[in-house]
Amino acid sequence: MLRFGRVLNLSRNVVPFVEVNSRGLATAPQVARKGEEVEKATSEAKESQSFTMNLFRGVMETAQVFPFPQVLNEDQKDTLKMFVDPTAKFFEEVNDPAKNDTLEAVEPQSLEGLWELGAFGLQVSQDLGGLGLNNTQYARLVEIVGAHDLGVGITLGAHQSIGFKGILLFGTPEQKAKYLPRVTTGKEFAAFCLTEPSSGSDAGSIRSRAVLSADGKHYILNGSKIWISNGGLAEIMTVFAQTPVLDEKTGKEHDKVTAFIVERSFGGVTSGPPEKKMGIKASNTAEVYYEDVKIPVENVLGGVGQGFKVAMNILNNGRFGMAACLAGTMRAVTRKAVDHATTRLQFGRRIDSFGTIQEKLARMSTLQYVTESMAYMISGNMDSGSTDFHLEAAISKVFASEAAWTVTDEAIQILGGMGFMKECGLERVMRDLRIFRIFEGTNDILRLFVALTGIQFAGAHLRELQKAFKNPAANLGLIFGEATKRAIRSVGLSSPPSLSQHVHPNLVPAAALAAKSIESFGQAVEATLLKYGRGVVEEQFVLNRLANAAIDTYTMAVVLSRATMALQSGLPSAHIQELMTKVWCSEASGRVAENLGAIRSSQTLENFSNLSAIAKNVCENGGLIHINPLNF
Amino acid sequence: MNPFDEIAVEEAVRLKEKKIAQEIVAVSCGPAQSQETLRTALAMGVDRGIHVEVSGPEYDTLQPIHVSKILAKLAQDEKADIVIVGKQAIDDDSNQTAQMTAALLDWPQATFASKIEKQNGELQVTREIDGGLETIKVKLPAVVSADLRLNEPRYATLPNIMKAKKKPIKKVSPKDLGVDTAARIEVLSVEDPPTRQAGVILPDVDQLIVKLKEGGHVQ
Repeated sequence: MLRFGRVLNLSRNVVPFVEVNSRGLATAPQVARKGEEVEKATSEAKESQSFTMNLFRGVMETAQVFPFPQVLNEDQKDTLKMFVDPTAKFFEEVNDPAKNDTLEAVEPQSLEGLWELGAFGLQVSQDLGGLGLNNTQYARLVEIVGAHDLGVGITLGAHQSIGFKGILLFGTPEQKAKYLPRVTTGKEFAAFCLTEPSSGSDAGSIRSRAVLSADGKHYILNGSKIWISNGGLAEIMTVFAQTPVLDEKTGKEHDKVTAFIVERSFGGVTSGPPEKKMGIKASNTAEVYYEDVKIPVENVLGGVGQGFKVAMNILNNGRFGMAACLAGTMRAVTRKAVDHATTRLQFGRRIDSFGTIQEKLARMSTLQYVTESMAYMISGNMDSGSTDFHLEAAISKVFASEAAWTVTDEAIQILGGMGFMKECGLERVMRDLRIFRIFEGTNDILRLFVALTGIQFAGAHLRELQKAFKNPAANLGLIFGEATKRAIRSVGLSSPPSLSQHVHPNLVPAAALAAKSIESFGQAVEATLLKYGRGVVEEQFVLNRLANAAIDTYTMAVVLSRATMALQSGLPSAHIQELMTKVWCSEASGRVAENLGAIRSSQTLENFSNLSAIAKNVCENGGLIHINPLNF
Repeated sequence: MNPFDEIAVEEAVRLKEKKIAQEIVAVSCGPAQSQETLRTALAMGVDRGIHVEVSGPEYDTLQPIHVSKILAKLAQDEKADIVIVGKQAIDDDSNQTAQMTAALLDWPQATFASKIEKQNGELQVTREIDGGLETIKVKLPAVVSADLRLNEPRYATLPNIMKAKKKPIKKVSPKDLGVDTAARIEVLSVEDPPTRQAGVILPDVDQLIVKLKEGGHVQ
């Protein structure tokens, strides 16, 4: 026992003796939801197949990353191939995105054509009026939509990706049989109604209320929702409202969110005029009001009081779709930029011969490659039955929305003045893209979600270790293992987890960079927990850097996997994929080191505290405090 | 699918929807890719397909005379009442298959159709001719060729494509149909049209007349 104690004293990271209250951390990932009963953190550390979750422990879990998932059988591939051309043809010849944007609505013949095409029920089973596509097939078709018209993309997405997705995920057989045919062959629009004037990110604080009627047969719904996509068109809505629920343990009644299937025809449902927006103008966005709406109790979706879980699952389930859609957008936009760069002559030469333009085009290509790879990896994981994809889905949404913005911005830059002109079409795409960083979970919230969920997971495992120390005799194996690991690490003898057996030989050096990032993650998270304990919830400056490091690390693993697949299959594009992967890993691993180093640097922490002070002053002053150098 | 053939398929589907036609069989002669063309036809509403497999060098020398013989034989085997094709293929612009098929079958022909109506067991067809429009009556069975303004083909919808996967496609060879595909025509040469010469801008009409006389274009 004495020798054991000395080994422990050698290692610097003596986490076991820190009180890590993971129950406190449990409230953390659910920052947005006050007043909502929080899912209690289990006292046992759960295992997870998620790469990102395990990353926060410094553990390399590659089950869902290597090899790159290939989930379609021959028949599914054939069907999908047959779908691609007609879908592309529709968007090239029938749908007119510029017209839709000017009209601030999807043209009627286009909308009708989309219903006929079957575009509104891609993932509903065939016997209920849909095409029965899985997630990977859906991703391929949504790529086409993204490449042509994001306004239409949102109209389709608000309908099926979130509007009636709850019925697909949580509906009873009766609810599915009743409503799914209506939203496919019945051509009735659907909408997802959660947001309210005082509740955006803080979804748990919604005020709409649904109270059980005296005879127990209906819920009476009152409230109002804002910014609902398809709000002015929808007949079938998934609506979230507070319902009084009896807590069996305390005998007290309190409010919990419940999800309902509400039909406009129930009466009392009205909607406002279409909102005037910066972009996705073709998509209808409206306020929806509920006044004493009688909802039959059979229309409760997912169980009374389960509304929050229903909402989060719906959003999680549809997120990969955004990455796939935006991968399509980036492909189309890059094509325009390349067309221009390879024909435009200035200073006597083609502008693509200049390094500045080359860097832009290469980065655009790489950002698209990373996004697309993530979209298909996640859809592949989901189709393989994974339930551990929520962090990756969140990362893909954050990454895709920011990458698409950057790529389109750079495309406009490459086209110069022409890029700014309406006729060129890029400015519309730019305006359409802005909302993608905001809706379906703001990128800011999603970053915190990733960081805090990861920390909670890591914390739970560390707590196990801490518990083991309370009863060392029973847990010697665990303790010895851990102590040895740390001792070795602290004397610098450890070898980082290795990815080299998963990747093609050409990518071994790049994989080593990724492995290093994974390893340094665990240490950084431990150090953060050591320093802040449960207070880490309030340290958003730190959490954001952890999130960015997680995004960089996950994306490295994703492209290493895809490029390996390409090299092993001998694809014509394998060489370019290899190059993009190498550059990505080189730059991303640098950013990871910078971010993880920063959160332990006193200089950075001082900057954070100064930034906070600046913000506080600006807010107290109602604006900037300094005037100008003239002082008037 | 050849655009004029697409119009022909669309017309056939419309005839079925009007309950004038009972069953539609689509035929394509060519290599494996012809199956995809047939699937598109099936997705538009055709009931079944026949793929006459012709590939490689045999396909390179396939001419309207061979296709007409194939179609004639199939029309007899299938006991068809109407054979409807596109007026011409956009690769060779031959405009021969409908006419030859009719001749081989000894059936009446209504070519360049821009409107088809059924009246008392006969077809009344409006044809697009150089002088305008001509309306004729043909007794059934007959061969019709579709012109541009006959209709606007529908877009294949994804649900119909799924249904089309279950519709049968029969594969046969020209030999099965007793058709000899040996080449009847030898291509001697293929040349680009001469490159256009630069024009000259002239100041006035008098100069123009001088130039025209010089070039021997006017006396």
